[in-house]
Amino acid sequence: MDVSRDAVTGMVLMLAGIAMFVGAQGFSPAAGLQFGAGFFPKIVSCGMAFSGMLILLGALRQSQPDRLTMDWRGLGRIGLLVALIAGYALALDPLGYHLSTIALLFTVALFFGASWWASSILAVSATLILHFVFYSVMRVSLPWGVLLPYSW
Amino acid sequence: MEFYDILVRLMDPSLLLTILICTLYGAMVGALPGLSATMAVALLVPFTFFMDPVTAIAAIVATTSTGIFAGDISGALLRIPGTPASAAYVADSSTIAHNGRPRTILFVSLFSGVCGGIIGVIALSLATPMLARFATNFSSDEMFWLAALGLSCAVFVASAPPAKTFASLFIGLAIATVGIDVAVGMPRYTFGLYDLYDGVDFISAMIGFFALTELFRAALVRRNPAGEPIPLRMEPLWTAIKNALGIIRTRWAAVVRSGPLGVLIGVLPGAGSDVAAWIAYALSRRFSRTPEKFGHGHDEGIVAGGASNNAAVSGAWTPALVFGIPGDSVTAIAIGVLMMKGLTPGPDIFERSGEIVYTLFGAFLIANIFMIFTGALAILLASQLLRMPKSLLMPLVLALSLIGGFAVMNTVFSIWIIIALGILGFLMILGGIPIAPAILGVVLGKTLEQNFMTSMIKAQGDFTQFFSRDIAMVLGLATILIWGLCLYRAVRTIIAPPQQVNHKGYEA
Repeated sequence: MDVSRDAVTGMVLMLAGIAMFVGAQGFSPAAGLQFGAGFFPKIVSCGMAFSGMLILLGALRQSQPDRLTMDWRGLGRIGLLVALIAGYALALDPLGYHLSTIALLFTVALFFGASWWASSILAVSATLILHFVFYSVMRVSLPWGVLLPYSW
Repeated sequence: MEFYDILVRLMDPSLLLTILICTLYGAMVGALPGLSATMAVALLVPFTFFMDPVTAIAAIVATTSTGIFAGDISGALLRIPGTPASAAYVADSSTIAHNGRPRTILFVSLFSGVCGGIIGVIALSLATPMLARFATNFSSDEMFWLAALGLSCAVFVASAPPAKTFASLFIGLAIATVGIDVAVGMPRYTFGLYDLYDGVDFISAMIGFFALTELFRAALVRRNPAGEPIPLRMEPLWTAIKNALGIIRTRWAAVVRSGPLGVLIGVLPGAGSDVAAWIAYALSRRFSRTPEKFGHGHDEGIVAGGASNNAAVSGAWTPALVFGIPGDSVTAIAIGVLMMKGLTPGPDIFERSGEIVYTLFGAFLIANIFMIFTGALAILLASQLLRMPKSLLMPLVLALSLIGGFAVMNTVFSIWIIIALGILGFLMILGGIPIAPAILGVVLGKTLEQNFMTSMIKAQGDFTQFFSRDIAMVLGLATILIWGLCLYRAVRTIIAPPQQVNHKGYEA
């Protein structure tokens, strides 16, 4: 049987709503109050599950649903991009802002299909400009990492 | 004397310089296809963190109004609307551009945009103080209903199916519940992470939703399908300006009609400049003496749409400033910025900080005037701008997003939030769920809960107390009516699903 896109969306929303409701059970109200921290999240979770149910029902009733098609190549590309950004987040403190940003800009430019030399020029010049704007003008304390001895 | 004070504040060189830079930035980003005005604002927000409130809001306004205009540039030259707001009349403007008058039609867009913007500012400065006087004695009951009404209107006017818009709203509200709760101070859904005790940082959320999501969408395909812009023959600048002014003069009725219309649509939560442009376009077609020319290179619809989408930018600020209810996703971002600055929007904003608000209106006006010059510059550079390759643009957007989130929180944790919400936003797009209502949910969630809990505790759990005051009752009934209508529409699509014809056909 084909699974339609909306059926999956609705199911995920219902599950998320139920999970959120279960989580809200843990927020017991303060003494003397009938409702506490969990009250509003419970309403929100019910709403989420309910809208998920409406979407699911709508999908089941539809005669010609949009089938769920997976563009695995595209998702692979996005996974790669996410991995690059996550690597950047991990490298930012130990390696320092400058080195990790140059590496990120260079690889992402290659990823989007720029040539080697264009990527390197972009990476170095954009990092210098961002450094100037955020560090020198706006005084954000960017981590220097391994470049700390050379910081200015 | 007060007027003089405001004038002095407006002449502040750093304010004027910020507005100038931001109109330029908005014009550039808006002209690049694939980068929307909302994304421009999301990337701007980290900078506003370091500005004073008036400058920050002026920067946002300047960026949006020029961004909305500049969307017409790629619409006319590439047939790809740079922002959704130019989609309504893209067929007309590109036909005229390809008939050898690209600059003329862009100047028509620019001038009608400026006119619409100025009409919007005038309406804003007249309507807001009146609304504020009316709303000063609102209690938490009314404020709860107002926030609920704002959220429901967003569902009601959205173009996506109601069930999906509701879902988006609840996703946003769910994100807003993360962190210490407003009533008793209990940490919720923090998973033991101290960084989440303050809730999901709003700036990182914005960047994740609007910038990373776009980036992921661009990453799906390896090459840019847009291709090279067709080399167009540009007419001389002065001829173009003269012709454009002539067109505006003959179409003044369209401007006068569409400007206020745009303001009204902008006021409605959830309906922004794109809806305004569509409705103004359709309306001017109905009123036109030559409706058959629309869609085949007629300038009347461009004037109407261009004026109304820029007027809607200002209109959206009215409920934002008085009630703290955003009219579109940009004002949702701006309300978050105002709250960070300790300038919480609300009916008493004129008493607390009247001078700031009036300075703000002045700044809106200046932004619209500066737009004439920076917009003209963008028109001159149009073909160069459109040749900017995606492969170099996207890395820049990414680097700017990440450092922007980092700059505000000064912790790597913000980058993780950006990644998480970028993925969430992308999954929502895959599931056909619109993103803008979720942002309204994130911004309004805390206000909604606070007013709800205050009223609830005051009434000791008796829900009927929410209807005990006159205005609260009217607002409450209106909200429930809209809920009912939305629910009815949602249920009707389940019982009688729309018969859609599938043109693509199914391959086994």
